[in-house]
Amino acid sequence: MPSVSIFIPTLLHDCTNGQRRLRLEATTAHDALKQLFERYPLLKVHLLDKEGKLRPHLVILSEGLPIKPFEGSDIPLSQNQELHIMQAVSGG
Amino acid sequence: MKLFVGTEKGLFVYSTSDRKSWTLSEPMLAGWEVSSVLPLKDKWLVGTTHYVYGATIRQSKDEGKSFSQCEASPSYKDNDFNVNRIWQMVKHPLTGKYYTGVAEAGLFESDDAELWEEVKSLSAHETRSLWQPGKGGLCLHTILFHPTNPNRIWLAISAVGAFRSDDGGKSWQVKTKGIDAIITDEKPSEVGRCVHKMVLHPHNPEKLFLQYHHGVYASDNAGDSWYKIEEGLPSNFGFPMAITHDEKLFVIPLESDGLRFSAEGQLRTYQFDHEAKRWYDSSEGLEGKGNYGTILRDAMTVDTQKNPGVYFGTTGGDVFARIGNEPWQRLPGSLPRISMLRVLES
Repeated sequence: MPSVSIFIPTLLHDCTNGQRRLRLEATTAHDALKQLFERYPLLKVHLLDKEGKLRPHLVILSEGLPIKPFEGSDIPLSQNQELHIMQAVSGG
Repeated sequence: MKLFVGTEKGLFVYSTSDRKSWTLSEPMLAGWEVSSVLPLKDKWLVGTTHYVYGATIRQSKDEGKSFSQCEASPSYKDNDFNVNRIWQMVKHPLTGKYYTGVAEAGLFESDDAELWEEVKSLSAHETRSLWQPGKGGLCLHTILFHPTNPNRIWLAISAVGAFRSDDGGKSWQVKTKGIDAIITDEKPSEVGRCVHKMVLHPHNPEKLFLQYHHGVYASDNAGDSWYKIEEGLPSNFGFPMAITHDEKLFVIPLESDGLRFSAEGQLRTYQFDHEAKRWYDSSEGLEGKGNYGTILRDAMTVDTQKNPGVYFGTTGGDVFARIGNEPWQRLPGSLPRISMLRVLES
């Protein structure tokens, strides 16, 4: 099973015991994020809405591109793949 | 003594031993809007709100060195409401139970401040379908307790009205008789009253005061009816209201609903003369003309010292303190937009 990394937004590090990068084994992005929430359940309220979808203004990036594993478009993961949970910003 | 200042970008804490010299902390929870604080001797509870990450309660048991999220922050389960902001956290002085008021308007309770449960009697109130938000959201911002009767609790919700429970929160009665309705295109009802802040008299639990959207009111019968007390004010619009244990009642008038800055361009506090039933300018020490700031509804508080202090913070990030009858003094630092102030006395 591929070993992958998930990067956590700075403001939420108190939900992961201070860790910014989490390593786990998963075959798909959805599976990786499901494991993330099982391991750190306090993250869930910050990242998902009541319907279990990603909150607005959040994006999950894989190799620089947005993915939507909670909206029915999961992707397979490969060894050492990185998922970045990012807060979308706009304006200036 | 510590003065907690919740801002749009984090929590700041002033420390003082004499209320003359103040030391400002580094920012805590930087990046979060700190919308509410309940500082206790053994822990600090902090309502953290973020436009992306939502609203939760965090706590520190080491005076702000570290924070952790509560196990189960307030969250609606069986309805369509969402918790968008933690507005108010209080501890009942008689029962020890914790209460939190949130937007969208609702009340949550907890025995340990970790696991929060919705007070469904309020969410299911018969007027709930008529509740509408004000500019600051549909927020439950005030929770008050009777000093000797644990069953009597008051709430204030903007833009809905004042409520009272006489059975410990099992049921709630709207208490808006005498308060002018906000004119809308909805059919008039007993709700639709935009209470901005409400306070309880420190020694007479029959007396309440509230700053309304269009008026300042008092009640002599625990909220059963209200009458206006506005003589002497330059404007009846404003947000915060605070009362000290020696009955000093303060408001900070803003120009109007449409012009939410200091009335007549002057940052001024007004204090109520309970005998003459009129307000008088109590602004000595504050800056003069040319001030167009705003003071939000929770950005004024008091301490319980023998010579009580009053404190407020502005949206421009300035904090002011008035100890007893001394002139206002500006505390050091220039902070982000200030949401709320609370005091912890040692």
